[in-house]
Amino acid sequence: MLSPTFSHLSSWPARYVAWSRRNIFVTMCATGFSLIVLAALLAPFLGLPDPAKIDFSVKLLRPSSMHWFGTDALGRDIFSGVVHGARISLLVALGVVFMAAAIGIPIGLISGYAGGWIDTFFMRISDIFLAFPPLLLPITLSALLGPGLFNATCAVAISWFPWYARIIRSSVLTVKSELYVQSARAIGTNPFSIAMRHVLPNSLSPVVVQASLDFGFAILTTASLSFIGMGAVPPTVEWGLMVASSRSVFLEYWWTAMFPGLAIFLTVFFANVVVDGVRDSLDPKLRGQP
Amino acid sequence: MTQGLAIDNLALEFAHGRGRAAAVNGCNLLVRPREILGLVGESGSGKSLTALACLGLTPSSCRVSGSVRVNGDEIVGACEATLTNLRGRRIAMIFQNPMTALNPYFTIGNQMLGVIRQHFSLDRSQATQEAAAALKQAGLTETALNRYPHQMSGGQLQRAMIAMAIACKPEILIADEPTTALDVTVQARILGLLRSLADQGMGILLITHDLGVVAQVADRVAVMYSGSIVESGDLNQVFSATAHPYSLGLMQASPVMGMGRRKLQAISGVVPDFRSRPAGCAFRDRCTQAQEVCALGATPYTEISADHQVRCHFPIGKSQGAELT
Repeated sequence: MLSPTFSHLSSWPARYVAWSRRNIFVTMCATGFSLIVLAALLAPFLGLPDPAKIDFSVKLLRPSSMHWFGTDALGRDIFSGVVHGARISLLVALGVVFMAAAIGIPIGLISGYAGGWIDTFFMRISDIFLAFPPLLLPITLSALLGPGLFNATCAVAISWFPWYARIIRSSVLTVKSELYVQSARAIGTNPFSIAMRHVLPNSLSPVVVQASLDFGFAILTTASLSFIGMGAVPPTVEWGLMVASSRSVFLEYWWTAMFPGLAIFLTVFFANVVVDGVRDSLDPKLRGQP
Repeated sequence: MTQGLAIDNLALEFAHGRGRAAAVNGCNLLVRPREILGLVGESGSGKSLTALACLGLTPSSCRVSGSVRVNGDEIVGACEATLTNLRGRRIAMIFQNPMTALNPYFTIGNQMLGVIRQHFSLDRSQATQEAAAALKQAGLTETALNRYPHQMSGGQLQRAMIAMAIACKPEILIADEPTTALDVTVQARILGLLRSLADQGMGILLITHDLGVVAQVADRVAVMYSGSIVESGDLNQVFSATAHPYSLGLMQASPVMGMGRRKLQAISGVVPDFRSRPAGCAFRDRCTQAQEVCALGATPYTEISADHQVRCHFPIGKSQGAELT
């Protein structure tokens, strides 16, 4: 897994420590990201106040020991909102990436493997999707589907699947001409199992890289949708929605927008750094370089 | 019904400009059971394409005509489902480069089981037994079942590939340069393995450009030049009474161990591109014996003695112009 530079170290924890020393920045971001994931997992068990509970008696309080990140215009605890929002954001990001891959991979596989008019048909459809500006299509689709987090997830996934379809198609085209595919045909393997067992697994790695890079971007896109009212609807606690609801007050009460915004920024940032770092350490061409 | 693999007048054509150009033209071969037929020829002579045609695996741009029959079953023009059933079960192929011919993601066993269970209705343990038996026959142990391709050496991989090809007990095995990527000691063992498979009843088409390999294991030999068979016959006949000038050129161009220092005779010129092949005999531009008649029409494929055919107007060792039919 890790660079061969450390292969002299026998146990994997020792190797991990050595790797971390060289990639201190990636390690820090990984720690930060793990904390966010942990917060998301443990949110209901931390004894935090209900993030959706409206209490006007405590509205717009400054950050204090009672309310670490302060409260918003409706008296909701922002710290609790940020922690609970992590659940939603991470889940939605996973949902987007999985859904986009689940639509894109079969289409790309069929296109690349079958070729001919099937290929042309699917790829022209993809082209239509890719012809829209990046955020316009999710906005249009969510407007059609109606607000709600699930609809927003679907909207983003539907507008992203062509990327996955294209990536997998291009690697299927390469893998299809590999000798082991031909040799599988020569011993009578049926076309379905050639596609599923020989072509698909060998074409998957670029999509995995793309999916992990998209993870951060998916958080950002759904938060943007929520911000403009196309995504999560109250009482769901979502980072983009939290930023949106602070619009009218954040000039005076900075904490209402800053903490949810910071949560979005840090999560996306950590996710991208970690994915980049892991990808680099798995890439044989970059191994052994500082 | 002819037993074994019978190739009759096989022609493989590709679109070229307004017309078509034949990469393989007039290929006649017969591989009988219990027999190894060595198919020799230079790079680009159409050997591998012929092999692919035997499995119906030619590229879609290729137009196939003629006939390829496996124990009577026609391959040319058969539908994909028929071919999938025939491949592996009746006729199988092993490829030149074992390092890239196995899927890196699955163990050898996994890849073998898939094929075995597709051709026979066996449960997992029975199929595993079959796979283990095939591996053993190919000279590997059962432990290879759980190995990934990257954990094995080139020779082991070639054996694994042979095991995979023979796991469904095909009647015909096509080996496309099976030893080219291997060193000589491993090569000798693989050839021994092919010989023993033939002795057990399989018909083997061994494609190679190494005359030494052919001399070592083949029963019969066919020489291919620019898409057609120019000479074929019993191994001893072809090697001792070589009739086609091209075959003779090939033999003079190969070094012989223990014959002392001698200058190897190269055949002058290069193989003509199949898109611009001269009319008449394709070899005539490089041939020392060529006369006007060689440029006129297709050269007939004639039998010069029992089980020895040659495609030449002036076969060596015969009086000039004599054509025996």
